[in-house]
Amino acid sequence: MSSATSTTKSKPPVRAFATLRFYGDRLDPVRLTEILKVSPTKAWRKGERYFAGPRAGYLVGRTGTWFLATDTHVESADLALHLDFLTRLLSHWTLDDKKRLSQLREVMARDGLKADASLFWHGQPGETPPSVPPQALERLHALPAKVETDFDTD
Amino acid sequence: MASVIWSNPGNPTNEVSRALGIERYQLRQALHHIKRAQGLGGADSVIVLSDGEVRDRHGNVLGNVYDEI
Repeated sequence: MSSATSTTKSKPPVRAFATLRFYGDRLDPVRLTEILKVSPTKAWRKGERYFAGPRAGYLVGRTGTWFLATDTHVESADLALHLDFLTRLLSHWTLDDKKRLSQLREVMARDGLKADASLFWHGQPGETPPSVPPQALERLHALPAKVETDFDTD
Repeated sequence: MASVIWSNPGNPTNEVSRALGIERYQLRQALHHIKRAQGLGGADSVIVLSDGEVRDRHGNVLGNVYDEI
C-alpha cells in the first residue's frame, strides 16, 4: 500500500468550508494574527522560504500571505457554520463590534493589502447547493474582500 | 517519473481522483486549499501530477494534494 493511499483516511470527510486570505508584498503575518487572534492555516512573507508540507517541501512566498481555512476550526458540513465562524472572526466574536474590522482596514490601507474569501461545498449527485446568508456576504464585502464560490457535486 | 494527469481550469474529474487513489471531494478540497492560498481562483488552470504535485501554468510548484488531506 502506498503512503499516498494511507493518508486519505487521516481526516473526516468535511465537505464544506470557507477560506479567508489577506495578501500583499508588505504583509506581516504576525500583525494579522495579533489582530485576528487566531493562527492562520498557512502564512508567509514575500520572499520567505516556508514549509508547504512533507511532499511539497519548502516553497518561496511570491507575495505575503495570511490564509485561513475554516475546516481546521469547524467540523461541520454546514457551510453556514463555517461562514458564521468567519464573520464572527472579523467582528471579534460580537457581531456589532466594529473595532476588529477597523483595525484590519487600517492595516490593509497602510500596507497595501487585499483580501478575498471563498466558499467550498461538495454535495452528493443531485443535491442542491447551500444558500449563502446575505449578512455573511455583507460582512466579507465590508472588509472589503472578494468572495468566490466553489460548489460542485459528485 | 510523475506524469501530468490534469491541466485544466475548474474541478478535476473522477478519473483524476481515482488516479491519485483518493475521493473526488478530497481532491477538490485539497486543490481548493492550494489554489486559494496561492491566490488562484476556480477558473485558473493548474497542473496536477501523478505524485500529487500541483503546479501553476508556468510550472511553479504550489503544493501537493497529499499534504492537504
